[in-house]
Amino acid sequence: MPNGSFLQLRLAGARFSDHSVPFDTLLGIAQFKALIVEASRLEYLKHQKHRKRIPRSFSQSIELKLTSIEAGSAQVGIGLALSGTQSLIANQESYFARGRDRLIRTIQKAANGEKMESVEVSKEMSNGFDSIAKILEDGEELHVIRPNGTANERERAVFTKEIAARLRNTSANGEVVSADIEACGHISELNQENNTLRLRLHDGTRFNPSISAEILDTALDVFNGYRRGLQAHFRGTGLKNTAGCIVGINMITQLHIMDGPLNISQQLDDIRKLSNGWLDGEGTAPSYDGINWIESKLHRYIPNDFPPIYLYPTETGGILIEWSIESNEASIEVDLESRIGIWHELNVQSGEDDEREFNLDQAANWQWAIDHVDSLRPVT
Amino acid sequence: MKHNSLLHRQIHPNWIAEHQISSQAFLPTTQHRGCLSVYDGEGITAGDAYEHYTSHGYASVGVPSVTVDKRKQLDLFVRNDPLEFSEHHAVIDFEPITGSRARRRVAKQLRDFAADRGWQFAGHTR
Repeated sequence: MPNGSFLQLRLAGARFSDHSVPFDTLLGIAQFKALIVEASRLEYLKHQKHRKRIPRSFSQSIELKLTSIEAGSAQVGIGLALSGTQSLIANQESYFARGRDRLIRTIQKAANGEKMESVEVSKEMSNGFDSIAKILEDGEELHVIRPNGTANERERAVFTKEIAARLRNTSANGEVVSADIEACGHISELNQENNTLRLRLHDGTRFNPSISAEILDTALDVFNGYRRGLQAHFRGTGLKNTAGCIVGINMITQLHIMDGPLNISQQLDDIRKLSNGWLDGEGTAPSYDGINWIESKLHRYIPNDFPPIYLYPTETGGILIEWSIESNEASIEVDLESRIGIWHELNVQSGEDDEREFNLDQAANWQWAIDHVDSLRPVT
Repeated sequence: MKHNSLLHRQIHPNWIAEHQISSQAFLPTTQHRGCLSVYDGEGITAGDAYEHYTSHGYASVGVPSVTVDKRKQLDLFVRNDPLEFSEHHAVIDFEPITGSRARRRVAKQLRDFAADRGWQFAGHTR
């Protein structure tokens, strides 16, 4: 029987104000098992210093079960059950309890802005936090609660998308390199005295870079459109970690207002929220880095007066770009890992079609595709 | 099946953007091994097919349909495939279509046929 008071999770935000748990969020909640196992593994190795790895049965013997969805609230209880192999590892349940407490402390530290070493947040933990962050929208919170003990002992941590980004940065902070930066975001503050601004990227991370004086007017326009969601595509210099995530922005040198067709970023934001299993239990979620990459490419190459562009996730974790122009159906299926695109176009009246493959890291290939879509438009 | 029978296809919420259905919605997924699942319109309406599908926990924003005779234009084979899940289950067989290019072409043509006919039943759109 599971121990029904192992962990409690409470969702807070406008979507949960009717005190129910949306079905889609359960997929993200399921990711807690991998997080608990990883945090428990780190605790085990910390206390068993003579061991270099955990016993094989360590993670196989744990089962986390949803034990309750409390009536009248967006709160779920999770129980811990150990299989018969538990006797092979002394005090195994205590390692999982320590793992849970470690998770709570880690989130608390990130929320409080406390300094953490990269070894405190393993890559696996960072990936787990990222998966869970996908079920949350801006402004929403996931309260992670240790339910047992007295009221004072009931520790809780408040997890948000922004905290996931901080943990991701901490995880890879040990290996940071200077890099050219290209991304999209909102400008919430602008200081005209010293040419600095407050920039918020899609993953919730915020930076205070300097900007070149010549783009100050454009930055002002983006800042003035903050309340109506105006975004900018920018380039500059900064820092990236080994996962390719932006962990610092020093200077922005180019800035373009994004008012492209059918709001590319809005469509990609919907795709960012997907977790593995999004296609009725199948379907790989496209990677965060991959979506950021394709977003920057689309904003860089798609002209503002271009035909409507439609973006969809693919079953294998890629992105399908489609255009529908008169009798012509064009598409690029993008592999976000290899960055290879497969172009296909069809004239549905004549049945003639064409297919080709190209590298989407090369500007000339984007230009070819853009010119080709443009040529499908009726002459006016 | 009669030549004018409708084949009802469920559309996953992530495969519609700005009311435009992705051509992927007319390609078999990996787990369906070359067969595109549809409901046979001779036995069930689009609305009832939607209710049946979503009541089993699957996601759908609505139902467009193509007629059986359209599959002839594309050299597709359609057959009834009653299952415990639904006695009205049928499949459009993509197995004979070899190569990604040909499959993309057929998926886009099916999507175009379905779009011409319009939604037979609309649920919620993204």
